[in-house]
Amino acid sequence: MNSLLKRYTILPNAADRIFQLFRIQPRIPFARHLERKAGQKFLKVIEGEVAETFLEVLLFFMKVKFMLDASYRRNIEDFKGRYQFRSRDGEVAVLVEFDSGKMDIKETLADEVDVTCAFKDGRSLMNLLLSRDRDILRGLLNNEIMLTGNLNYMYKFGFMANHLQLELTGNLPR
Amino acid sequence: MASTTISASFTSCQDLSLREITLDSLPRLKRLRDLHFGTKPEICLELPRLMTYYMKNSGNKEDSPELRAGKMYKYILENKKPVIIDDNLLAGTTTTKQVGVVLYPHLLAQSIWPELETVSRRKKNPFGITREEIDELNFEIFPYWMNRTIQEVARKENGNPFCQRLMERVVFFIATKVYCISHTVPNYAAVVERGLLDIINEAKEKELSLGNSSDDKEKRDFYQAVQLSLNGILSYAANLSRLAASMAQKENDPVRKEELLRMSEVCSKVPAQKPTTFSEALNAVWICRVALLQENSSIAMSPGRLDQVLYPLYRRDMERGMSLSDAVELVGCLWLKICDQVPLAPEVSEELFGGSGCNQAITLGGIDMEGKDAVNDLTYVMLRATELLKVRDPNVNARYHPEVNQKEYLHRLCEVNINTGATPCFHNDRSAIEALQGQGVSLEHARDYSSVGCVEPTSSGRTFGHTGCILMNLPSALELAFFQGKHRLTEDEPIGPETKAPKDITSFEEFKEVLATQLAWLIDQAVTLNNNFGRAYQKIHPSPMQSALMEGCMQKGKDVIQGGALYNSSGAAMIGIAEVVDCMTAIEEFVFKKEAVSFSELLEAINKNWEGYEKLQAMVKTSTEKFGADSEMAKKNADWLIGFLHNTFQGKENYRGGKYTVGYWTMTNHAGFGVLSGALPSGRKKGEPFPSGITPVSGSAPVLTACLSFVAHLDHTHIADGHALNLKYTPSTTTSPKFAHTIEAFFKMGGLQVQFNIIDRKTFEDARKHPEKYPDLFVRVSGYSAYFKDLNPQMQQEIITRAEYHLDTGKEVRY
Repeated sequence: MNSLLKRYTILPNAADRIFQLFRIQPRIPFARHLERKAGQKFLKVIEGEVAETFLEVLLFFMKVKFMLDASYRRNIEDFKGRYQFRSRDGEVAVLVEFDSGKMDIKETLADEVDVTCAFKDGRSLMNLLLSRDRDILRGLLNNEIMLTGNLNYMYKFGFMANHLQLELTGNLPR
Repeated sequence: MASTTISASFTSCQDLSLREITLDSLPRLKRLRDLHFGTKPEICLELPRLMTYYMKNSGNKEDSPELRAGKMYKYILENKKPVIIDDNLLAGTTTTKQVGVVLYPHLLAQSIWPELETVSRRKKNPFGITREEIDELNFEIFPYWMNRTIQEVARKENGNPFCQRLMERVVFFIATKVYCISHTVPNYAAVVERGLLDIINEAKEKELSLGNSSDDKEKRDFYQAVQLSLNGILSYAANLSRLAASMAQKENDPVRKEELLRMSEVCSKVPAQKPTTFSEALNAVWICRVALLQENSSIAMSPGRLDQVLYPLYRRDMERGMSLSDAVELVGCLWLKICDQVPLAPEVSEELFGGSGCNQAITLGGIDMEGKDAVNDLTYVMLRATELLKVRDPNVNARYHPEVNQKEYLHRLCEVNINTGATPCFHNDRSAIEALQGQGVSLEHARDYSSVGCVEPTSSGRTFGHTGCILMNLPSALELAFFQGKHRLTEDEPIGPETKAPKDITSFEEFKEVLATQLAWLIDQAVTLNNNFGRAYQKIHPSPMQSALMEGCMQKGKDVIQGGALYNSSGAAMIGIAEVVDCMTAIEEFVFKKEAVSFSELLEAINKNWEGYEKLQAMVKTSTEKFGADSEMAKKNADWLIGFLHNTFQGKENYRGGKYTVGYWTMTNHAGFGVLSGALPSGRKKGEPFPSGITPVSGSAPVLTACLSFVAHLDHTHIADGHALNLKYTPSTTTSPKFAHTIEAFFKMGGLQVQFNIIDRKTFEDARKHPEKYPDLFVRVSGYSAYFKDLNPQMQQEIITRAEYHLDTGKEVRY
C-alpha cells in the first residue's frame, strides 16, 4: 500500500473515534471535497490508468463513503466481517474489518478472517469486483484470483464495490 | 377438431401425428407461447422473503430440522400469493412473475449479490429487478443467510476442507448440492390416485401409532412435518380457488368467466382430493409442482411419466366427449406452465456454463411394469403439444423398447424430432432397465423408470438419486497424471498425489496406473464433498413435501434426505470421456507402440499449445484410433476407463447409505471445462470445448455406423446414471424411415440413449450472427434442450462444429 490511505484516512478515522466515544455523527471538514477527490481517484483507476493501486483507492473511497453517505453506510450497519486481501507476490497484505457500521483498514496478515482474496495484481482484483469490462473468466483462466473462506462475504463486498462504480458513472438503476 | 376416433384400446388415433391440431386452431396456446418468448425473466423475491421472515421471526430453535421445515413450508404456502397471470387453463405460478427467477437463499442465491445492480442490463440473459427489490435483497434478505447456506454450513462443519477449496478452483469438479438437490421424479401417481388428504391422514395415523423412543420422536417430527407442509399446499390451492372466483365475478367475457369459475371449482377440490377429470389431474399435478419448487430448486425436478400417470383420467374424459384438441390444449398449458421459471445464473456461470434451462424431464412411452407396450393416445397428444410449442422445458424424453413398442410409434418420434429439430431424445428400454437392475432396482420398478434432468434413468417416484450431484472434469485428472499432481491452471500448487513423472513411465500399463491414482483421488475428493453437503442438508434443509411424494419415506418415517426413499443412489456425471480416451489412445499408439514421440516431447508439445509441433499434432489428429471410430485400441481404453470409474464410484457410499452411479452427460459443462483446460495429447488445442456427453470428438468418427457401434458396445450396466450421445443429421437427408432405422439398429446393438439436432450448419451460423431472427431456435445440448441464442459463444461453436452425418451416405459431412 502506498501512503494514500494513511494520508487521507486521518480525518475519517478521527471521526470514527468520535462516533465510537460519543455516538454522535461528527461533521468532517472538507467532507464533500474529500468525497469528490476520492471519487476522482477511483474513476481514474477504473478507467485503466493506474490499476495497480486499485485496492487502496477502492478501500479509501469506501471508507470515505461510509463516513459521509448514510444510505451507503446502511450496508455495514449490524454487519461484522473480516476480509484479508493479499497479493500473490506478498507485497500487499490488507485486513479490512467491518464492525457495526465501522470500517477498519490495517496493513497486516490476520489469522481468523471470513474470507481471503489472493490476487495477482490490481487489475485482476478489479476484474473480479467491478461490472465495467468485467472479465472474471480471464481471472479464472490465468489463475489470477484465489478466494478462500465464506464466499458470501466476498459477494457482499462485490456489491458494495460495484455500487460505488455505478454511482460514480451515473449508472445506478433507479 | 381432429378427425380422430377414440376407443378404449391403446393408440387408437387414426392419425398419430394429429396434424389437424395446429397452433392456429389453438389460439390460447399460440398467445401463451408468444408471451413466453416475449417476456424477459424477472427475479422474484417471494420465496426468499417468506423464508427469511419465517426464520427470523417464527422459527423455534428447539424444533428438529424436519419439524422446522414442515412449519416453514406451511407458512410459505399459506402466504404465497395466488396468481392467475394469463389465460392459461391451470391456476397458480411458481413465482409472482410471468417468467420468474426463483431465489433459494439457502443455496446459491447470493452469487447474484455483486450483480444485483447490473443484472437487468447484462448482455446475455438479463433478468429484470426493481430498485426496491435490490435494496430488500441487499439489506434484508442476503445478510441473514450469509452463514446459513448449504455451502457455508458444510464449510464450517468440516473446517473448510480441502475438497471444498478444490471445487472452488472450478476446473476439477462441481458438487452441485450447493445450488440444488432436485434431480428426481416425485410420485405424482399418488397425487392423482389418492389426493393429498389421504396422504395427510396416513401421516396422522402413523404418527398416532408411535411410542416414546427417540427413534419414534424423530418419526413423529417427520410425520408432523408432512402433515404441516401438505396442509400448506391445500391452503395455497384454496387461495387460488378464491382468487379465481373473485376474478370471475369481475370478468365480462362470458367464456373466460366460465373458465375462471371452473378453475375455482377445480382448485377447491384438488389436490386435496383425488381428481376425477383430466383437467383436475393436470391442475393437481401443477399445484403440487409449484409447492415442490418452493422447497427445492426446479433444476432437473422432473415430472416423469405423465402419459402413464394421467392416462386413466384422460381416457375417461375422452369417452365422455373431450376432444383431442382440448386434450392438446390442456397438455400445452402444462408445458407452458413448466417453463414459467428459469434458473439463476450469475455472469461467470453464463460465460462458462450458460444457456441451460431447468431440465425438467417428461418421459413418454416405453413399456409398463408388466413389460407390456405402454404407449397410449396420451403419448401422442403430448408429442403433438411438444411439436407445436417447441419450448426448451419440459425436456421431452421418449422411451422405446425395440421388441415391444410399435414401429409406428418410433416413426412418430422421429417425425417430431425432425419437425422440432431437437426433441425428443430416445432411450432404449432394454438397456436402461438392465442398467437399473444392476443397481438393485427390482424388475418391475426398473420398467417404470423415468428420465431425470438430462438423461438419467430412475425408478419413478421411488428413487431419491440426485443424479447430477457431481460433475467431474475427467481431463483434469489426466492433467494431474501428466504433471505429477499439478494442473496447468493452478500452476505450481500441488493438487493431487505426486505420481511418477511421465519421462520415467516405461509402459502404457504404467501410465494407466498413474491415471488411475489421480482419478481415484479426485473421485474421493468429490464424493467426500458431496457427502459433506448431504449432511448439511440433513442439518438445515429436509424436504417434507418431496418425502410425502416418494415411496419409502412414509413407510420408514424418514425424510428423503435421511434415506427415506426406496432407492437411495447418487449420480456423478463425467465430462470429457471421449477426449480422455483419445488422449490415452494417442499415448498408447504414438509413445509406446510406434515410439514416434517420447512422452516428454508430447508434453512439451501440449505445453506449447502445439506451436512448433504442427506435424506431430496432425499425426495425432488424423490417427484412426479414436473414440467412435472402428478402433479396437480406443474401445479397449474406453472399456477400461468406464469400468474403472464405475467400480471406483460403486465402492463409495453416500450419506444416505446408497451407492454412487456414473453417467456421461455434460449439460453445457463440456464447453466451460474446455475453456479452462490446456492443450491435450489428442491433438486438441487450449480452450477448445470438450465433446459433449459420450459423443466422439468432432471429425474423429467419420462413419455413422462405426460411431453407433462403438457407443453401443460400451457396457451400459456401468452407465447407470445415463449417457447422452449427441448427433447431428443433415435435414435434407433425414426422413422418418431412415432415421427410425438408425435408432432401431443402435438400440438392437445395446445402445442406451441417443439424441439429435436436425438443423443445418448454415442456420446455426446465421443464428449466431443474427440471434434476433431466431428467438425460438432450440437445440439439444447434452441431454436437454436450450435456445440457441441463450448459449455462450463456446457452446454455440461446439454445436456448430459438432459432427454432422448425411443419412444417405452414413458419412460425416465435411465443411
